[in-house]
This record gives sequence, structure tokens and C-alpha cells, in this order.
Amino acid sequence: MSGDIDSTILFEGPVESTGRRVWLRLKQNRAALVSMSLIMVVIVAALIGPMLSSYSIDDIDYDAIAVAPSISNGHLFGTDGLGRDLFVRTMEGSRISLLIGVVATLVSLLIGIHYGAIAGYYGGRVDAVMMRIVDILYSMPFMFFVILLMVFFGRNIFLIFIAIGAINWLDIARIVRGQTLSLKQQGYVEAARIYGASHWQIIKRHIIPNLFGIVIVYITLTIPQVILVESFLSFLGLGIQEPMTSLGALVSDGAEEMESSSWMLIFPALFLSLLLFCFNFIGDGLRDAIDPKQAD
Amino acid sequence: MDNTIDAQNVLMRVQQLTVEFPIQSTKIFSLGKQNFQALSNVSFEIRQGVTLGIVGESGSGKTTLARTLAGLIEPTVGSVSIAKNITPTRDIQFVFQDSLAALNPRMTVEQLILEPLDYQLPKMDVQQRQQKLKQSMEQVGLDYAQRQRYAHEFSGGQCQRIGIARAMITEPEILICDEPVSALDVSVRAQVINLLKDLQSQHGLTLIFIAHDLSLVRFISDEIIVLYRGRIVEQGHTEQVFNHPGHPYTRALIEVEPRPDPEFERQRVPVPIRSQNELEISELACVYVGRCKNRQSKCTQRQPEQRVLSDKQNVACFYPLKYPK
Repeated sequence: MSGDIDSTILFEGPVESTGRRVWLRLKQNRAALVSMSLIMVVIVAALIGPMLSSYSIDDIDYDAIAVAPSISNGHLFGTDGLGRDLFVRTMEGSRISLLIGVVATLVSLLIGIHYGAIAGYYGGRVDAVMMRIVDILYSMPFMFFVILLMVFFGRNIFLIFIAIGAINWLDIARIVRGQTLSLKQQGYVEAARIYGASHWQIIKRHIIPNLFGIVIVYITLTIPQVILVESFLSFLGLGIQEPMTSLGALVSDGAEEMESSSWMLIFPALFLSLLLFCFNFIGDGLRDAIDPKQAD
Repeated sequence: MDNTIDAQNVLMRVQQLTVEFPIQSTKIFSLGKQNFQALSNVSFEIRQGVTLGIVGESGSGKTTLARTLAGLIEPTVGSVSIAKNITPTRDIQFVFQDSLAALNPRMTVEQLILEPLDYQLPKMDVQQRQQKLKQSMEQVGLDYAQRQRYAHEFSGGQCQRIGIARAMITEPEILICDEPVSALDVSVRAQVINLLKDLQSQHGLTLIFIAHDLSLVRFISDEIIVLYRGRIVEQGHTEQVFNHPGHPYTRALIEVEPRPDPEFERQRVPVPIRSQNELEISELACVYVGRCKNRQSKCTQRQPEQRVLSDKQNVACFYPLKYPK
């Protein structure tokens, strides 16, 4: 698609795709860039960190129970009250927390965007019925729902994904539906109808791209929120089960020991806040990059 | 819009068009639906190459008429028929009043202008598309080098040019302009109007031009339709209607139009406009009766049909204004 039709073209260069454009703008944002590199580091560390250590997640070192971090004995982040290596456990915990955050958010996005866009685009009675269903689901107590799931299906990490995703999509559906309602009134949607676009073409070209901004912002709010909800569940004994762990579970364990052995709290808490901060900065950067009008 | 017509030169024929909108009742338990008639019994023809001006005050149904002609609104009664060689989505195009709102903020000028082709001729190859893009951007006075920019980076006048380029990309027969310049300032207005006129003479376009600015309509259009509360009160050749308005409403419109003449403006006697609620008006009465200076008892009893005033002018009034020969 290079412009070689006429030699008088002033503006030369490859025709950019939207994705490339977003990336170019995102590169200008230093906070987002630093956050992305940090998250990459955490992800890599979470994946290969446990392999590098000579301890595994449930190895108990009877010679080093609740010892402070030191290089000499190989426990970089120290050990917990049972003598398990905290470095390995923090990496494993980051992996699980990230996994839950991303998967549960994707599940809720998938359901929420479709549900909300259909309700908003078709409007009228379809919209009314669909949104009343959302209202009913909203009124269900979350903990009750999670406990029921656990009782019926036993403890399982996939149940946590489903439980969190099934609650979070309600918010996304509402937001997307509201946005779609206002988007379909826009002049350019009307213009597309005059130019002969089908419903699907309008949704694809005009509705969904204009939902991106708000959805991206919502993702960045949701991933940390999901990570926190998971740690809450773990705290109550409904989340991740020993010897598996998550950042939330590690923080709540560490909090109990924080007066005597502060490292048990500091390291997991550091990773948790690092992830939450980074996701927020990336979200801000992405929103500005995707919406050129707002950024100017 | 599946009816087709055979008559020579006639591209579009509107017959007894009535458009009603349901009124949302504020009461929860309301019985029966109420409708608001935005257009009632509108009939006219559009011949090839002619510019048809549609004027009327706010709420007179101008925009409803434009949207119905574009196929966005289904007529409640009546029909819009088109000539056999016309494909609605390709040959009837639309220029919007709010040009910026009609351009998707996430699309570049290139994507915006080529958008109708994606729906109409999706198989066109890249070279041909670029050729058309360049041609149409230059035609409306835009710089081809700026094709990668977003709509909000352009001025109001340029946005309207983008809108016109987009409307022209499928080489339409009819261009419906819904107040295309009322959001622009005066100097840009003239440029856009001249652009439309140029396009018309180059491509033999048929223009439907909607505006509330009478002098503009007089300048651009060959024929004129005056709407009042959803009805055509007068239609005919522009000069004839402007020089000898037959309907009291048309005359009132022309009289209140400001003139570039300070002497005249200083001595202008304000035209008192009678309020609508001055007398009990039956549903059957002439729509204009509440404000009419010449009303007589017949006017309150029924709606006057359109009648021929001369070969160039029709008017819907029992007592059209007369002029000494």
C-alpha cells in the first residue's frame, strides 16, 4: 500500500495499521514502557525463577526455619515458618495471581462485551430483558455463590476463574451496553447505514473499536481487582490450597508474622503492589494511545 | 423504495408521504398510542441535474424529509420511488450538518473517504482505491498528503470537505445535503457552497439542499419547497417563489430575512408573529391558520389542497397573495 501512483506525493511511508499506530504512541509514554518491562521481568521470573532455585515449592528446609534472607544459605527471600523457600513461593504465587487475573478478566470480557453490545445495539425489549437478568444476578451474594460452587464441585483452581469471571462480566456488560447505546446514535453510524453497511459491519467497524478505550481502562481496573479478590478467597480458605500459593495467600500469611519476620510480608507485598501499579500505568498509557483525540 | 419510475428525467418521486413518530407517554398506564406527524401528505418530483431547495423553520420536517429520502426512516404512508437506473445506497448520498460527528474519530481520512467503497465495491484493488482517494481528495480541495490524519485534526470546513469527498466516492446521482453549511462560519460557507456547485456542474449531480438560510437557498437552487409543520405550503421555481410568494408564510419568511442594507434594516417594521394559541384551532384547519394574517372562516374548517398558481408555482392556500401585473 505504498503511495507510488504519483511522483508528487509529499507524505511517503508505509500505510500504518491501527495496531502499529497505537504501539508508536504507547512508546512515547515512559511510565507505561517502564511498567511493561517490569511486568515482563516479573512474568519471566515467575516462569523460570522456581527452576533456577534448588528448592521446590513444598521443600522444607529443617535447618532454616523462619530465617532472614541471605545469599549464603541460598534462601534469597528467606524462608517461612515451615522452612519453605520464600523466593520460590513468591515466584509461584506471582504466576498463579497473574494467571487468575488475566484468565478471569478475559472470561468476563468475553461474556460482558458480547452481552452488553447486543443489548445496547438492539435496544428496546431485548435490552430491557437482558439488563434485568443482569440486575438479578447482581443481587446474588458473591460469597454465597463461591461457597456453593466449592461445596458442589470441590476445590479447584478453575472454579476460581469461573466464580470471579461470572461476577465480573456483569460490570463490563453494563459499561459496554451504556457505551453502545450512545455510540449507535453517533453521526458516523448513521452515515455508515446510508452507505449500505450491514449491522455486523457497523458493529465491527464503528461500535467495537470505539469501545476499546473504555474496555482497556476497565481491564486495568479488573486485573488488580481480581488478584485482590483471589487473595481474599485464599484468606478465607476458599482460594488456592496448600502447598500451592498465590501472592494474596502469601501476603496474608506474612501479615501474621510481620513483627517477628518482616521479610515474609515484604517480598510478596512488593511483588503484589508492583503488579498492581504496573497494570494501572499500562492501562493509562494504552487508553491515551488508543484514543488519539483524548491524548491531545 | 422498491418502486421504480419510467418518466423521463425524473430521478425520484415522492407521493403522499406521511411520516409519524410515536410520542412517548409520560404516564405509566396510558391507553392507546399517540403519534406525532412529522410530515404529512408531501408530494414532489426531482428531475435530473436540478437543485431542489427545501426551506422551513425549525421543526418543519426538513431533516425528517431528508432522512426519509436517504432511506433512514420508513414512510408511514405514501412512497418514495426512484428511477430504474438508481441503486439507493450507491447513487443517493448524504452530506451531514454536523460534519465532525459524522466522521468516526478512530478512522483516518483515507479510511473515512473510502468507507462507502468497502460496502459497495469491496473487491476494488488497492491501486484503484488509492487513485480514487487521490482524485476525490483533490476534487474537494484536500491535500492528498494528509490522508493519514484523523478528522479532529481538521477544521470544520475541511471536515465538511471530507464528508463531501466520502459522499462523492461512489459517484452518486443524487446528493442530499442536510444543512451542510449551517455549522460553518460565513467565509467557509461560501467555499463549501461553491464546491457543491462545481461538483454539480462537473458530474451532473442532482442536489437536494436543505437549509433555513433563505438567501443561500435562493442562490443555489432551481426549485424550492417551503415546508411548514410537515406540510408543503408552497413549491415552484425559486425566482418565481421569491419574487411573488403565493403563501403568506413564504412571504413572512422572506420578509424576516435580514438584508445587507443598513438603511432598510433601520426602517424595518418588525413583523408581529401571532402566537399559535390565540384561537381554538380545529384539527382540520389549515396548519398556518393560527399565524395567518389573511385568514378567513374557510381556513379554520379544512386544510387547503395544493393548487396551481402558475406553471411555475403551486401553493396550498385558499387565498394566495396576488400581485399587480
